[in-house]
Amino acid sequence: METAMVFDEDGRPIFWHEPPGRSGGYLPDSRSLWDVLWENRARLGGVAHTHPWDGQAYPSGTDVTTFAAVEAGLGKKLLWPVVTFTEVRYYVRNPLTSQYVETDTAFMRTSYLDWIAQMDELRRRSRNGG
Amino acid sequence: MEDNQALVPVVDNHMAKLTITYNGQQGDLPDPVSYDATDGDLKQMATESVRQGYIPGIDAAAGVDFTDFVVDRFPARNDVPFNRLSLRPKTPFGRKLPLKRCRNCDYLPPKGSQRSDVCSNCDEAM
Repeated sequence: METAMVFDEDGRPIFWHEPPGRSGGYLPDSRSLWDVLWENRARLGGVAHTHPWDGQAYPSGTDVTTFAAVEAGLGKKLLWPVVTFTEVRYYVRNPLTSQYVETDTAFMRTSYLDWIAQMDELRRRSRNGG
Repeated sequence: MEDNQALVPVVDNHMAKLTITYNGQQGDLPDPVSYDATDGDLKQMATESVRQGYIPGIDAAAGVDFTDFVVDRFPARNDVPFNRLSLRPKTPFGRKLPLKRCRNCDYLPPKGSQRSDVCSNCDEAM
């Protein structure tokens, strides 16, 4: 099941998003997710979500338009990790082109090991369907 | 005029307060809108209002675009006695997987059906 994790600017989890109606390929629109993003906007770092299969982690067209809409609503640039069972890629908006491009995680303030543990937890929740 | 004129609700049964969230700011359209207005009409109203700086609490923004925003509708309740509309960013991720065609009977479920591993036509595994 697709699963998402909202994290703060230090990379620490704020909220695990496992809504009813999600599937192996889709997380539905959610007012409650938006409420979490809005209420935590001052400390928000980004949202990671899974594509629950092996292989390369590219955002879908739906992902990219959601990234842009959320950033427009919050007035804040976020980090958008996409997580498969075999890799993680990190996306941010390029302010010059407005395209979402892959980046590294050098600016994240969490420890690498903590972050890897959180990605593993995200995968575990994704495999188990919550 | 009677003194109780002020007690008449500003927003009646068919009207609603529209709250807009944009660029980290939130504000209400000063005028009530129709609760039954379409999402498209509400987005158009919001776009023009934000462009003109007509929403208290939201700075004017010439390039505002609510294409990927959605409208939540909250009917009046006892504790909030007026209809509310909220324009906020959409939040779905991923993609809807294509519907499977049954390998046994070649049945393809109609558009809009839930993707399933069992054929609704022959009850065999898809």
